[in-house]
Amino acid sequence: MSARAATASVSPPKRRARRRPSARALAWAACLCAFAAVPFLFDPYRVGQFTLVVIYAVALLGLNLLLGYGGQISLGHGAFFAIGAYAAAITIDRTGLPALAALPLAALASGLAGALVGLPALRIRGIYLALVTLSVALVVPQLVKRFDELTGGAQGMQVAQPAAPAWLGLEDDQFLHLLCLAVALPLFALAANLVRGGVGRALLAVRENELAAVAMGVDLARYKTVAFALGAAYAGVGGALFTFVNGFVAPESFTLALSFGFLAAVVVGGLGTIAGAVFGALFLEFVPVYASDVNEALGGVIYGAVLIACMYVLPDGIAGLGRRIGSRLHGRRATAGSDAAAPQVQTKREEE
Amino acid sequence: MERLAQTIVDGIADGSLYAALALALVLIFRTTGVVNFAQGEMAMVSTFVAWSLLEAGLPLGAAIAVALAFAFVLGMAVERIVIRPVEGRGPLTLAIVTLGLYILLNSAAGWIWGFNNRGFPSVFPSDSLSVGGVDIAVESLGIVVVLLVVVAALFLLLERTRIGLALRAVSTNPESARLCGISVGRTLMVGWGLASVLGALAGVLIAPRIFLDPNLMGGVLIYAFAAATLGGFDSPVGAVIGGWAIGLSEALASTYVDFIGSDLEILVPLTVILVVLLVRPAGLFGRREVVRA
Amino acid sequence: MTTVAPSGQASATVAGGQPLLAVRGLVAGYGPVTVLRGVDLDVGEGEVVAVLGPNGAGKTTLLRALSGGCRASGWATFAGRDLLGLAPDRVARLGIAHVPEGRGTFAELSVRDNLRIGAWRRRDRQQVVRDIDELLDRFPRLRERLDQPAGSLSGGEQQMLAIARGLVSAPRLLLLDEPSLGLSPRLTAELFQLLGELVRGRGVTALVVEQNARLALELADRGYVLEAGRVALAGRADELARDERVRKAYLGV
Repeated sequence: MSARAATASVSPPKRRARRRPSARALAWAACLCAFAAVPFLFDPYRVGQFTLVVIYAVALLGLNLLLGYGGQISLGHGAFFAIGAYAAAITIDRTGLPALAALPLAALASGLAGALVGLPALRIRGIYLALVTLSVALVVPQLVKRFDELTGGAQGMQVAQPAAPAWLGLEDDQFLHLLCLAVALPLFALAANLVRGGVGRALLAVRENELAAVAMGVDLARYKTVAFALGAAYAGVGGALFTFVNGFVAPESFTLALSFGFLAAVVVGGLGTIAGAVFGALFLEFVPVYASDVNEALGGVIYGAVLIACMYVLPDGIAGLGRRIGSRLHGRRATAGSDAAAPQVQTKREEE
Repeated sequence: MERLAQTIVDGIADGSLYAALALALVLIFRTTGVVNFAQGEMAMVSTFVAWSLLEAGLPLGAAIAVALAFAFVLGMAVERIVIRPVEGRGPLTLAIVTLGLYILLNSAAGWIWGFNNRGFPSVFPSDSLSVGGVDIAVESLGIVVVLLVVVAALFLLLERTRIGLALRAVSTNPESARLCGISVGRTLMVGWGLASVLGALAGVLIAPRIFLDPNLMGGVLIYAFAAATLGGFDSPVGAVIGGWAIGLSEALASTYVDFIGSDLEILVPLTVILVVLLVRPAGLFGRREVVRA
Repeated sequence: MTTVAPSGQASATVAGGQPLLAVRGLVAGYGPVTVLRGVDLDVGEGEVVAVLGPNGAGKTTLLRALSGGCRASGWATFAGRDLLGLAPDRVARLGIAHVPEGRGTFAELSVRDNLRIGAWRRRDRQQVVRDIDELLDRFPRLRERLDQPAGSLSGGEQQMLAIARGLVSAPRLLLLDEPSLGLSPRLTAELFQLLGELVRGRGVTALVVEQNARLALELADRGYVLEAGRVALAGRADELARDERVRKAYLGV
């Protein structure tokens, strides 16, 4: 007579009864308010950090869709971020289009790139896919340097930042922060919807057991490509916002370290959860900084150590920890942690 | 003509270095199924140890020998302390852990030794031999010879010794290996130790050709991955052939293909990886296609 | 709920004195699932003991519990040593050779290497070479395929290889899990004949889990019938073979 069984009998699957806003919805609302309040509470430097958190969160959402839900290991997420950033830079600088047009264009460019990378994913899995995506991550900065007329090459490209409209009465950094938040919000809502709906279920089915998913009629090719395209598109939007905020793009911003950082962040944040993107972004932005504060030279050592320790202690990431604490508070038995990204290994229980 | 010969020699020499690191990757992958992103950094740290010993006054041979011993211990320690606790947890967790180790070791090296470039002496004299009218650096020849000796030694170890048998048993079927009395944990530690020595060897051979700094092995890692992919992640012979193939293609491409030049060299290993994985994922010599565990 | 066959108690030993393997109240399972619910069992030096029972009764779990492959509590000693809680490789080095269900072959390695690994715990190189040679005489098909990868062998050949691997370790106790699994009736008969020669003929102590009750009881000195995680019947093999319940349930009579 587990609590789970009891809940199942109370809320029938098809019809969602109208109930009070859940604790989760409240938490999200609080989070949104907190982020919205940031520009008015802190100095520009701090605001900039939180803006980056929002930007990273958007990119991590994409990686989470790809990896946490779709189960596709990608070591090249930074490349899609870079493509979006450059697409935005080129749009603003070389075309006459308004800055905001850069957003959908960046999403499109990255999404296409993602779909392209997704094609090999149909034939390749696991570490080999990781290697392919790694290659992509390495090639993109090199290509940027090669096509320097378009991209500004190794020196980079200065780009005009979207300016705060006068009637808002905001400073530039405040405006940019709120702009990023405004872009992030619908993207988060979209992601939440996707994962709860058919796409999400299909992706999870693919992640858990490809053979079974195919047997159930999931078009593997379509969903893997969709996962890559979506994940990349999100990263692309993040990249475009990055360009808005920095006003400058250069290949050094998009090294392999960024891709590794994204991967680490999404796992630490919590795979297969929407909240994981936020936790991961916070981790990505603040831990290296604080690690360096503790000791300048040892910053990387601390970051690496924290990363490793997280894997030992928090296999489900911070979001998983939150879920476990939440379950305990509600008196339900906590679900065991496991490697959320690895499909459940079919252990043949030789019960004899 | 001379340029071609020179390019080929350089290519095979560089390829031998990629092959050495690839061998380390393959050894680890075969025995534990882990793709160790930190392999290069472990090699780099060992190379720095050799450098420190040199600075302390040890002759080159002794410094390298001690550094290799250090590398062995380092490899064992990493397996026991870092990898063992998360062993069964799936490829992604392991990937993150080795990435974390990469970052940690890279920064630690920077903290201990600083990020400046420094030189590292070569084991080989800097003369050239004249072979058929072409000047071949002794160092290049020496590197290839060292690699061949290492491969032979590795082969003998794996095929003819007790520990080699244990390593092969554990890499195929750890459960059954246990039932036969093999201590899988200790065997894995030895495997990691050996791989670390291979990497360190690559490090001390690479360092004289470029600068010694914490980012010594970063680029080489990709080439090693490409070599291992081409050769087959579970084939030591493949790692060597793959290494040479990559080294050769890269040397030829960067010399003769204008588009590649010297900054898009990285495209060579990357293209190789892509093509191999699409056409024949197990690689040239690999026996099992490695899918997600 | 333990019914005992008329002539034997769970602790009967053929030779008298302490049994080589003594098990009392063994409780074992996997994670939250408990499969064995209190098993008592003895194996005397030189005996062949069969373990019969339906699927799910816990036969494989029994062997796993003894070789350290699943969680187990209770009491089990081997030659006076505490067995439970030891790691599988420790157990193997004590001289217990567990030939698992599904053979546990090292598929990518050669037949020769499979045998060499089987002899791992032994240090007497020369004798090992002689023993392998002798075993290959008994298993000519293995000798033919000595350098081929073990995974390329047929099911029957792999089973022979697995048994040879177990025997070459010169075990003090051989644990055999379902040797007939996946084999044709003819191969199974052939296999059991070989087992008779190699195990009974040489006085190897063995605990044999087997679905094929008839052949198992022919081979064994004594037997246990496991049902639902407990010992339902125990006794001498010939008496079990005559027992009505056994005949109906397991001998198809």
